Parts: sequence; structure tokens; C-alpha cells
Amino acid sequence: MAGVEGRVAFITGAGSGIGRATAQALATGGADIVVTDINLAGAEETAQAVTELGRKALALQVDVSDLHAVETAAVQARQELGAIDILFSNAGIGTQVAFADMTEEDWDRMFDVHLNGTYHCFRAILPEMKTAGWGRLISTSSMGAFTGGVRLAHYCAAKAGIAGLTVAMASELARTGITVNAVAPGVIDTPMVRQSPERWVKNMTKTIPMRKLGQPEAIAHAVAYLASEEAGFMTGQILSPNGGSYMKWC
Amino acid sequence: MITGAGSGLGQATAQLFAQEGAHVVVADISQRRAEAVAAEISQTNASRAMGLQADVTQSQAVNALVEQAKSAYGPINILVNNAGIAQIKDLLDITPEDWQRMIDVHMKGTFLCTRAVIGDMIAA
Repeated sequence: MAGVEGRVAFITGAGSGIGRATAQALATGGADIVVTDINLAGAEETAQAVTELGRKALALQVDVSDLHAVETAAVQARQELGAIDILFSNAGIGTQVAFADMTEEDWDRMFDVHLNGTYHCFRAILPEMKTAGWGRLISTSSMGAFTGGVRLAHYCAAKAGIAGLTVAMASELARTGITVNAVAPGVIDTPMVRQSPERWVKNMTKTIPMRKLGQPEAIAHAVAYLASEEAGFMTGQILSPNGGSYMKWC
Repeated sequence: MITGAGSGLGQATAQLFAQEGAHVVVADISQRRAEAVAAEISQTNASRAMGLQADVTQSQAVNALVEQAKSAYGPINILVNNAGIAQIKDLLDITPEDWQRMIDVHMKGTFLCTRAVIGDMIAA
């Protein structure tokens, strides 16, 4: 088996942006897709696009901050599409607030969606990967986990948590046939980023050496590689498609 | 103010700050350990030390801790977010409660303590 042909992928936050682009990239590679999102209409649109690519799709409404909802979705996915081979834990939110104004609720919601959501997905899907002796656990961290960002303390902290979870789980699963990796996108042209103030988007674009936002497909292809058979020796890695943003003098 | 200062790294840090002349708020989830460390510091240094009990995961408790510290020593200049717990388990053996407690102590505790003191630091 090469690429992701014949695999089943479970994607969260797949109703738009990076999640949708990844669903399409994996479907193009021959995978069936469990398309989950808190927004069912978005998930259904993505599922339609997957179907048009000739692969099976199942659209489910899932709030990843709810462990029971994730477990229920995983069971339903298994029943309809078979055992899950690839997880892309991607659901995220992107609120901006100054630290001094940050409420406990702001903090908790950010962690509930990003870090707890990823833990919930790992927990729900890892047992079947262990049984199969093959699996791909891939999560969306962020460049912000490593660079920081103003008004983004909660976001950067949660995304750094995902990076830590990735390397910890890669260690724990190193000899199981299951790889654990993450992507750390730079600033990508998604509905989430477009919700930010226009001025912020403009200023951020000026900081990118390539002077443009990334497209969701740039992340989708990185995920498709990490999900592939050929990436079997990659684990504990965090790939950051970011237009050169790690370079300081550019 | 040093959290988790009732033992280990926090205790050693509290002692070093005291040796260097700082007044030290020894915060710990254990009242007994916090007071014991503070008493030891007070006996061996010219600096003042105060042991206070607080669970850093609780917003009200953290705010009360900082208010109590401020009323004794004035605004806090240095915060060491050190409170922590350790637990070694495979992922599938970690319960959601284990997970949440780990994040609450390390991440939320850091957020709540930082938030409680940062206004004074910015003003200073």
C-alpha cells in the first residue's frame, strides 16, 4: 500500500479551512474520510466534496471538547467506514484577547478545544490503531507555539501543549507501528484567520518573508505526507509550512 | 511569591531568594509545608517569609493568596510559577480526571497566578 490508498481518516474541524483541504487531499490520495466539525453544514459540504472525488465520506457533528461525543463519533465512523487508520486532530478556535482581559472562560475554552480535544481524539481512536499495529496520529499545533503572539497567550499555550503531547506520544508509541506528528502552520488564509481584525492580518502578512498568507492546501499536503505509508520513519516531528517565518532577517 | 514552595525546587528557590535579601511568600497546597518552609527561612535569614496555603487551580484562592501577600509585603515583584504534579502513565491509562488535573495545576495555575500579579507589575 502506498500513500493513503484504502485508508480511513478521521478529521476534526473538517468543515472548513485546513481540515477541509486535508479531507480533499487525503481523498485524492484514495482514503475514505470521516468529516467531523462542530458545524454540521460545513462538514456536509466537505463530505460532498470527498464524495465527488470518488471516496466514501461520513459527515458528523462533533464538539471535540466533549469526550463522550468524540467516542460516539469514533464508534459510528468505525461502523460505517471501518477501523480508523489516520487521525487528523485539527479542530480549533482563534479568539484574540489581551492577557489582562482574559477570563477564566476564555482560557478554559481554548484548552478544551485544542488540547483536551486532541487528547479526547487520541483516547477514542488509539486502541484500534494498537490492535492494527499501524496508525497515524497527526495534530494541528501552530507556529505561535514557538514564536508567541500578542493577545494570543491562551492560544499559544494550548498549541504548545499539542506540541508536547505529540513528542510525548511519539516516544510512548515508537515501537508500535503508530507514528505521532504535528503540523505547526504559519498564518494561513482560513475562515478562522479571516475572523481576526483585518489590520492584524495585514500586519502579520508583512512579517512573512514570502509576503503572503499560506493556503490551506499547503498544510493539507504536509498532513497527507505525514499520513502516508512512506512517512513511516517520521515520528515526533512538527512540520511548519510558514512561508519562511522562522527566518529572522528576511 | 513562589508557588509549590513547600518542598523540592520551590523550597530551594524560596531559600535562595531569602538569602539574596527578598521577602518571600511561600505558597503551597499544603499549609503545613508552607509554614514549615517559611519558619525555616525566617530562622536562618534576615528576610521575612510567610507561608500561605493555596490551590493554584482555584481562581478565588489565588486572588486571595495574592491579596494576603500584598497586605503583608506590598505588591509582588517576582512570581515563580513552580507548583506542579507528576504522574507517569500510558495515555490509555490516563483518565480524563488525571488529564484535567495535570493541565489545571501546570497551565491554569500559571495563568491564574500570572493574571493575579501582572497588573501590579505593569503599573510598577
